[in-house]
Amino acid sequence: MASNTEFSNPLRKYKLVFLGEQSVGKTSLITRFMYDTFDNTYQATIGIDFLSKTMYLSERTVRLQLWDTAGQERFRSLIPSYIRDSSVAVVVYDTTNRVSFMNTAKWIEDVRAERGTDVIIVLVGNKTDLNEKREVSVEEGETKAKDHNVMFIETSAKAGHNVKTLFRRIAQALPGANTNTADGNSKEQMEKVDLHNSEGNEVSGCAC
Amino acid sequence: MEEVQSSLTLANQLEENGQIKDAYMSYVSLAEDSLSFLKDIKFIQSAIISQPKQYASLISAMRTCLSHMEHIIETHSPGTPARILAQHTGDSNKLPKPPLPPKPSRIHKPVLPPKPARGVISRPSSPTSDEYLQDKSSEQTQPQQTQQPVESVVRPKPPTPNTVSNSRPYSVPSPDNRTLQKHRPFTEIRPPSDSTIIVSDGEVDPTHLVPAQTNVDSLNSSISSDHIPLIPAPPLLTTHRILQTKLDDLEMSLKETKSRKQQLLSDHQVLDPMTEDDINHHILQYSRQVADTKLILNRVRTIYMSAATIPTIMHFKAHITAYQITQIEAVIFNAIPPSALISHSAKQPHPRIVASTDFFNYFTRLIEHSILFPQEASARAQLIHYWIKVASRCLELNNYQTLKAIVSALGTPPVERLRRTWAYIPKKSVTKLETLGELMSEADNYGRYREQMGMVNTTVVNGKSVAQIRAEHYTKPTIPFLGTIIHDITYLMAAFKSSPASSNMAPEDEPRIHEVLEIMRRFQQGPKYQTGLPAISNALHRGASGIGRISSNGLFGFGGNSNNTNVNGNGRESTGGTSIISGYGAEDDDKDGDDTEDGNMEEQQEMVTQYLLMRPWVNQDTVDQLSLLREPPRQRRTP
Repeated sequence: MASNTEFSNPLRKYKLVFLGEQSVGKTSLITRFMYDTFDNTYQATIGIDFLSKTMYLSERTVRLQLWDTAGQERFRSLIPSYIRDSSVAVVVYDTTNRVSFMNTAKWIEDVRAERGTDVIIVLVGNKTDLNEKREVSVEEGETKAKDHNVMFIETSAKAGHNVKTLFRRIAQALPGANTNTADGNSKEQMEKVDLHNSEGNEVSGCAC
Repeated sequence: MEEVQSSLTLANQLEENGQIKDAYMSYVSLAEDSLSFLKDIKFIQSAIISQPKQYASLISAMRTCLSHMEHIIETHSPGTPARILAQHTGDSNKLPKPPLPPKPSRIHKPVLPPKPARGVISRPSSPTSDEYLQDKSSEQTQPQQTQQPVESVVRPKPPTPNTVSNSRPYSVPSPDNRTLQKHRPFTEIRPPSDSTIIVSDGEVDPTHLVPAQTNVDSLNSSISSDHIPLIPAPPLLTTHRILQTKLDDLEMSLKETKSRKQQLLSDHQVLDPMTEDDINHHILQYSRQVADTKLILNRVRTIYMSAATIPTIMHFKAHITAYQITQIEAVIFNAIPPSALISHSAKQPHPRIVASTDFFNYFTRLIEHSILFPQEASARAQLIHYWIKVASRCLELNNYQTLKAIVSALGTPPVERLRRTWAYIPKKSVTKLETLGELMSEADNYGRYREQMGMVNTTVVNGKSVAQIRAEHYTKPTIPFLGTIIHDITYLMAAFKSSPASSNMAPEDEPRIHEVLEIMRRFQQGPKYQTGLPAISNALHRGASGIGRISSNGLFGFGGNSNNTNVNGNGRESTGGTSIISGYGAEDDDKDGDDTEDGNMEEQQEMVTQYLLMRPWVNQDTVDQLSLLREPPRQRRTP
């Protein structure tokens, strides 16, 4: 079945989950990334398939489903099901808020506990536009990323800095891409993603 | 606590042996110790975030000590037979403050019906009596004393220490209470139910929040970082507190009246018959009221105790649990002003929204812990099975908030990883859970759920008009899942703020935002869940052993011959105190409770609510560790 789906559906969907404390800018990153479509179409598409975007890379096309816990961080027990079946976890902190940086370790652990190595994790330090208020240096971020064996980037959702780069890097790192950085278990995961994919199509059937 | 108990016993023995000095000093030091434990309290502004462990027992022990000290002073002082009332205040102030001794016991049981019989014995020297004394001293000469118990019951700040947190704002007095303030004519012989109906009718107050009980254990290192959710106070606690205050007042009045009689007798030798009649009449009235109140109080305690000793949630039928949790959720949901959605933010969370998320977290943790508690995998499986049944019932009740909570709780890592346990779950039950899980899944931005609710931005879903779907939901009592509403508002606000329109338009006027708020409003204004359980379920609760024996008469209706038509709808016309007795007795003759469905059911409902709101808060680490303990990991789980 998995292989069938692969043939019949060349447009792969990948689940990206955004994690991090409240007000670190997860929603801003997403709205910035979606901006071209978001601003014009949110009226029509809020609800089903609201946060999906197709990315056209040189060698292939992927569809990213962005799962945002927006405003629901207080519902702690909701988070595990967001993490479940995700291909990518984007763990965001606010560079002007050290506590939010400290807490990223917990999020990374949670993702690892649930997804093992079958997941790409990106540590994102957001709000670099507020440089004068910075509490976490670039080096600290890099070190932490290295310690946890995850990708790292700093962004400013407000200024639009590095947002596209973030998503392009994620897309390139996805399993199946030529520049595949994920390790051995990726086959299993792709099956999962594909299963999810077919369900998604049934429900949404959305043309956006 | 055992230490305190044994010290108390020891002091008692000394006293009995005639070693008065030693006994007295033991009481003093025990009182000092208890007092110093009571300093172990943490406030944030005026809210208590951490209460002294076993405060009720400590306070009760102190009372006992004080009363014994008082007794010793009175009986062993030369030539001072008269009681010096003022000494009460002196006692507590004089106590020196010793260094903190080692803590007696770390477990704070959530149980504790605050004052058992011992409290009654020691009441004369209760620290609260000062207040009564003041009340009385000014009123002693006034003839209209009967009015006093009526008023004092509705006094908004009862000083009894039974409450979990006295400093929190009180629940708004129910309309019942207010009507009672009208004074009864003095001559009325039976002042029966003014005393009894006053008791709050057991409803959950969404604004009276208290920290969930905590079990302080060896893992308390993480307690400081763990946010303890604030949840609605168990209504039975409020009831108990009100009753206790009332009883204190009544007993005080009784005592006053009696001593007045004595005084009159000694002053005038011959009493004016009118006055004597009058006073005797008073004494009779007070005695009756005291007896009535004690009886009710005992019943409250019995239910309270029963709820506290119930070993597992499975004691209750799934549909009753579902119904009670739905009632609690409904109250919390309806208390959220739609505008709160707009002002709510990470930095300035709206308290009513936090109340909802806190309760969600409390409840999911309660579920996790209930499942992880039994040692046997089969027993854990029964609990999972049980919660799936409750979840199905919640769907029938259109309670999507709790449905989501249960599905989430069963999917959290500590529960989900229990492979041996899950192997016991009947396939039918697993399938049911999968169906519920799909309905509440986050996939496609809660696509399935939004379809079900008509919360989509199209006009037609699956061949059905969205307007029609919504309208159908509005005709039934419904609690939507707050998460999607918060999610939508978050995004709509983000879009709104970045749009040029935001400069000259209020967010709630933006059409999409307005629509979400309107949906919220419509749900809140929709039909309400009835207090009583829908009739279908009646015969189902038989065999819930033990509970049926306590009584059949609705707990909170007790003396319900008031003009309030049957708050509980249990249909029993009762007349004050006697009805309680007869109701009680009747129940004794009818132990199986087969034909007392209404009262019995209602009492079960109260007990479920009590049980649900009195679970200890267990932190994340504890749950994780418990899970590993129950089913140690063998190898890495394949996903």
